[in-house]
Formats: sequence, structure tokens, C-alpha cells
Amino acid sequence: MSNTSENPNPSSSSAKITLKTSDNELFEVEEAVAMKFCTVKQYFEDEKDNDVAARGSSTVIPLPNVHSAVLARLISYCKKLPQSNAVADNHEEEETKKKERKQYGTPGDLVDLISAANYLDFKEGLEFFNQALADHIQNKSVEYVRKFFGIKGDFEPHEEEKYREEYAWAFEGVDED
Amino acid sequence: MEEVNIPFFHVDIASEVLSRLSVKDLSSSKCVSKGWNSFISSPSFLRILSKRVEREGPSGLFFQMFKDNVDCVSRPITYIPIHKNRSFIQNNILNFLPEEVVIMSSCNGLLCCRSCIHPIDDYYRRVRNREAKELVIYICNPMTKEWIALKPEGCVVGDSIGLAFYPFGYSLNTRPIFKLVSIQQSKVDPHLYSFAMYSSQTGSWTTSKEVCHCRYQIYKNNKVFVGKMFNWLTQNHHILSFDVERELSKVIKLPGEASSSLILGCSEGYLHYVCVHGEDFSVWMLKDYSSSEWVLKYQVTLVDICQESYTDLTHCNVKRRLLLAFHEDLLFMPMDRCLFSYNFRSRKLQQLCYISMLQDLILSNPTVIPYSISLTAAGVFKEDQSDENKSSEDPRDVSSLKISKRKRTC
Repeated sequence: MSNTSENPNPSSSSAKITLKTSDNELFEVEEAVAMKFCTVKQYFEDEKDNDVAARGSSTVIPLPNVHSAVLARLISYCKKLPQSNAVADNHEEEETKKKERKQYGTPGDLVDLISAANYLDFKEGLEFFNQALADHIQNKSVEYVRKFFGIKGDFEPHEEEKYREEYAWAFEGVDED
Repeated sequence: MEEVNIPFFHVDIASEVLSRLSVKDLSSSKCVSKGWNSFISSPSFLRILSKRVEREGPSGLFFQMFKDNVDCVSRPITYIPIHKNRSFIQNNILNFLPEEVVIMSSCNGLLCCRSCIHPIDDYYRRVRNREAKELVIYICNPMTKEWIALKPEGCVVGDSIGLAFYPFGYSLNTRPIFKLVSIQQSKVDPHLYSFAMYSSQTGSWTTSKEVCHCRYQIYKNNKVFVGKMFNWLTQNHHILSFDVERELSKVIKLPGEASSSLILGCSEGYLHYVCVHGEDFSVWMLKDYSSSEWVLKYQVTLVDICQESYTDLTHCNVKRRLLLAFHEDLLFMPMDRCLFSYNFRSRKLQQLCYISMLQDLILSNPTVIPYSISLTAAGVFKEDQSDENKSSEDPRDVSSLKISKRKRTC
């Protein structure tokens, strides 16, 4: 993990960093967790260089693009992060990971989480939530995808029919639901 | 610019998420809306997708028995898809083609095959009372079952053909194009090789002015296309390379000691050469064509390979280890009645499927072609046709392109 070198002593992980969200809520998080967010890390280090952070835990890092509800979920995901980031290489592991990814609810939630993870430059989170969203639309019908994202099909019926006929193989054997 | 109706705030995020979907999912998702269609079809997205697909290694392997200068009419083509969890053997996957074919090469989702031109023997020819058959080259997409047939005109085309498919065009032209290169040995001097080329851009065949002097016989079914170079393995520990852009050829010596267990492959855009000496596996990469500089990329023993897997295969001592294919740092080889892949990057050995049924085929030094499904290969012939109709003034071009609409067999 990238932060272990900075924070070798577990007792020092009690150092807290305060994050301020777009709706003006304050989050006091452990330094180890906050450092997962590269944007925060960068800000923190810049502050350090400017000697402003001499006051330590009293530094407040503003996150004007992240809502408190989203940040809370990202932090809780961050705390659960497994130590090894190894790719699942057998069937069971893959299935467990899939189940885990399924817990993160509606597409709207996931898009919010992805956008926030993107803004925070939180690599593990991005990988996880991107895959979670992709899982939702894997092997699903066009109708399902439309409903899932709340999209209206804007092809003319005859255009769509022609395409479906031509690419019939792509429309076969999709999951029901 | 038209607003793209993608429910993500950021184009990068949409690319990240959608590039994780399968080619099949993406093909049907084009139907979701016009916005999705234009996004999935956009070259920038297809490039990201191609990169991801490439890194994942091949989608499957095509197998066919090979014998130089003899084309058995009934020589089945076997396809083994490579899945994370299960692989099974498929036959008849190329049944949509109008005749039995010999598989030649594959590039970016397209497969090149040719008709059987060498009758089994004289007896066959006498009985059937026919001449050696005319050469027809098929370029097909096994996934969508689209195909075109090309009949070489105006030049001699050999029986070993390589395919180069550029889904994003070539130099200034951004339309998808493909090129074919065939190599043929001179009948007068067996040490001379000439090349015939086809480009879908011009729709015509030409004989290259380049003639290669190579003292070693080439292995017609052990070839690989890398970047702009076609490479054929030759006897005596060499390869013969042909640069399709500059039309220059070169004979390059392989590194290390000669081995009878060897294979050529492509990984990360470089030509690779894998060889086995006893229990030692070496992977070499051709760093630079002009200086013929090879670097040793990986060196492992069979014990290393088996270390992280559940099965101990070190007992399968064989005189000569068979290597079937190498693609994107994955080595495919049969061991103990199973097909295995070994990933040199992640050091993972994976059992793919039982091949007891294919044992004879595997032992016969078959042609093995790694195949990668690609979204960029869907519908390319269709575009070709409309383009030809519009711009071409030579009616021959259109007549030589036979477009087949995919028929579904349930």
C-alpha cells in the first residue's frame, strides 16, 4: 500500500485529517484513509510544504465537488479495503467479489461514487465502482439497460429492427431481469 | 457537437465502465440510444477498448492439422475459446464459409483462410477429373459470420498468406483497411522467395519487387504479424521478415541455442520467440528489427511454472515439449492430456481444457492461430462495399467482393 512508508507505526495512524464536503459537513478521518485519496494527499503535502500544516490535525481540506453522503460511503469502503489487491483468479473468488460489488445499489449511487472517486483520484475505489457498474449491465437486454439508466430509445422503430436483425447474435442469451 | 446521451458526467468514466463489457454486450448496447451508438462506435472509445482487449490475451485458439503442400479436404478446424472458468472444444465454427478452408492467420478480430488448392494426391485428381483448384482467399469475422472472398488477379499468390488489419486506418486514411501478404518460393531457385500483396484500399494485388534470398526452408504455418512486419519461422534457427510498408525483407538469426521446441508470437507490439531446452523456458523479444537485437525477457523452469498451480506437472517428462502458441505473454502448451496457458507476466498457470480427443491433432504439429474477438472487426466489409460502390470506377473491384449477410443457425 502506498501510504505504509509514510505511516509505519500503527499508533501514529490516529492522526486525523478533516475533510469538508460540498454541503459543509466536516469529516474527521484517519490519515491512512485520507491518503488513499490522491487529491487529498496532494493538497496535504502542498500545505505541509507551505508550513501551514504545522497545526497538524486542525487543517481542513475542502472538497467542493463531493457530497457528504457520497464521502461517507467512500470512507466506509476505504476502511474495508483488503490488504492485497490481487486479481481474483479462480471462480469462487470472482463470484464473491461480484456479490460484494452488487451491494453498491442503484446506478445513480454508483455514478456519484465514481465521479467522487474520480475527483479524489482514489484508484482502488475507481476500479471497484467502475466494475460494479459494468457488472450491472453485463449480459443484460437493451430494455434493461435503458430502464437502469433511465434512457429513452431514440431510434426509429424500423432502424432498431434492422439493427437487431443484422446483429441478432448480440441479442441472444441475455439474462432475464 | 451533438450532445452525447451517456449517463456519466465524464467521457473518461463512460469509457472506463463500458470498456469492461464484452463485445457482445457492446454490440447490443449500440441499440440503447443514438448517443450510446455514437459513443460506442467512436474511434476514441474503440481505441481504449482495443487496448484492454489486447492486454487480456486471445479469446480463443484455432487449430488445424497441417501438412506442407497437401490440403486434406476433410481437415476439420477446431476452436477452443479461452474463458476464465471453462473452456470447451468447438467444431464447425467456420461452417458459414462456402467451402472447406485452410486457416492462415488472424489480426484484430478478422481471420484469413484460403481454399484447398493442393488436392490430396494424384489419385484424387484423376478420379474427380479436375485440375488443381483455383485459389480463393476468405477474410471473415467468425463472431459476426461476415466474410468476403478474394480471387487473386494479375499475380502469383502463394499458399502461405498473412493478414494485417488496421481497424483505425493506415497513415492518413482513417478508414479500416486490411492488407494481405503471401510468400512464395521460386521454382527455379529454392533459395529465393518473392512476395505478393493485396490492400483493401486499392482492391488490387501486386507483386513486390523485393526478393529475399534465404538458404533455409520456411515453415509455412509458423508465422506471426507484428506491427508492420510479417515473420515466418525458417529452418536452422532463423526467421524471414517482410516489412509490408517499405517492402523490404530480412533474414534474422534467432537468439540462444537452437531448439526443437519453439514458437513465435506477438506481445505488446514486439516479436517474441519462446524456446525450451530441457526444463528451461526462455522468452526472447526482438527489440529492434534494424539491428536484429534480441533481449531475454523471461527465463523460468518448469518447476517455477508449476509452483503456483495446484497440479504438479514436473513428472510429465517429455522428450520434446510442444508449444502451441504465444500471445501477449501467454504461452499455450499441452501437458498431461490438458491444454494449459502460462502467463509470464502474472506467473499464473491455468488449466484450460482436456484435449484427449485432440491428442492426435496436437501431436501433428498443427497450425495454431490465437484469435481475439474485436468490436472493430464488425461490419468492416459492409463499409468497404458501400465505399467501393461510391468511389470505385473499376467494376472488377466490386465483382471481386462478395458480401454475405450473416445467416443464423440456431
